Amino acid sequence: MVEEFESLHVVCHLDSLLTQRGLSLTELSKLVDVSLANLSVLKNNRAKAIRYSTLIALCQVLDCQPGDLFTVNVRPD
Amino acid sequence: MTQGNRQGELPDEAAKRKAFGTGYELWVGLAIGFYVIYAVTELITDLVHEKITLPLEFESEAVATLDFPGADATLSGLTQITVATTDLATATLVLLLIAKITLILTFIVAAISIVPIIRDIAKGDPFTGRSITALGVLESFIAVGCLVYFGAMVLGSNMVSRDLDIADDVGPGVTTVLAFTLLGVVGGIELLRRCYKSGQKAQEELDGLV
Repeated sequence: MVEEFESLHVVCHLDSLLTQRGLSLTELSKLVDVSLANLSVLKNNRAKAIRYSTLIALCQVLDCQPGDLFTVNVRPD
Repeated sequence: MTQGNRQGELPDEAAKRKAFGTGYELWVGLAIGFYVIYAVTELITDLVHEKITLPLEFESEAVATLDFPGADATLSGLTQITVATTDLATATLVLLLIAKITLILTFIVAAISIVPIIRDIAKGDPFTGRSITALGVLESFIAVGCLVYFGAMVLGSNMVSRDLDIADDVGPGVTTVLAFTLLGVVGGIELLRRCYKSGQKAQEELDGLV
């Protein structure tokens, strides 16, 4: 199971969604009530897990679905 | 100007903080340091005056009568006695010294092992591998040190009562209560170590959670 995860990874598209919505990370941080540091971790694909509450808040503010925020990609060798 | 001076002092302060940690260790160091100095001084003073202090449990009034100027009294239970080393056999003296020195060394090692735990707590990151290892070391040294102390003190105090011809009237200087206290201390440290391990696991799970 772990070996399968090693070849796949979750990619966050927060950066492109922010550009499309014309929002900055700081503004999003205030809107979703999540710290700038945590949003930066999420944006740079360094997050290991996400709370439902954070996901719902992000989808609500960015007017999107979880699939728009995240995709599972094959890790490049 | 003041700010400039402070900024100028910052690297020094950081170096000091690195050398002395966060300061909390100093309190532990002071407490243990005072105990060690007191214990070593007492031991050396006693030996210079050719005497040694040890605990004995008085069980019979036959040898425990105190003749005060105003009245008579009797000793009972665990009591510290001071005897001349010349009245004791060499083997007895060696066992008592082993017990006393072991206790002092156990305190020193315990103080050293507790330093990384205090440092990590002061840093706000207590559940580190270093703290868990330090707790394991602390637990092992306290258990082994106190076992050696108890063993040597039981044998030593029994030999003292034999050397002083009061073997039927006194018990060893280590009581069951002391043994249970040691079990409680070691058990408490083990419990804390397991809590730290669980804490480390929980921290690893939460690490990277947004």
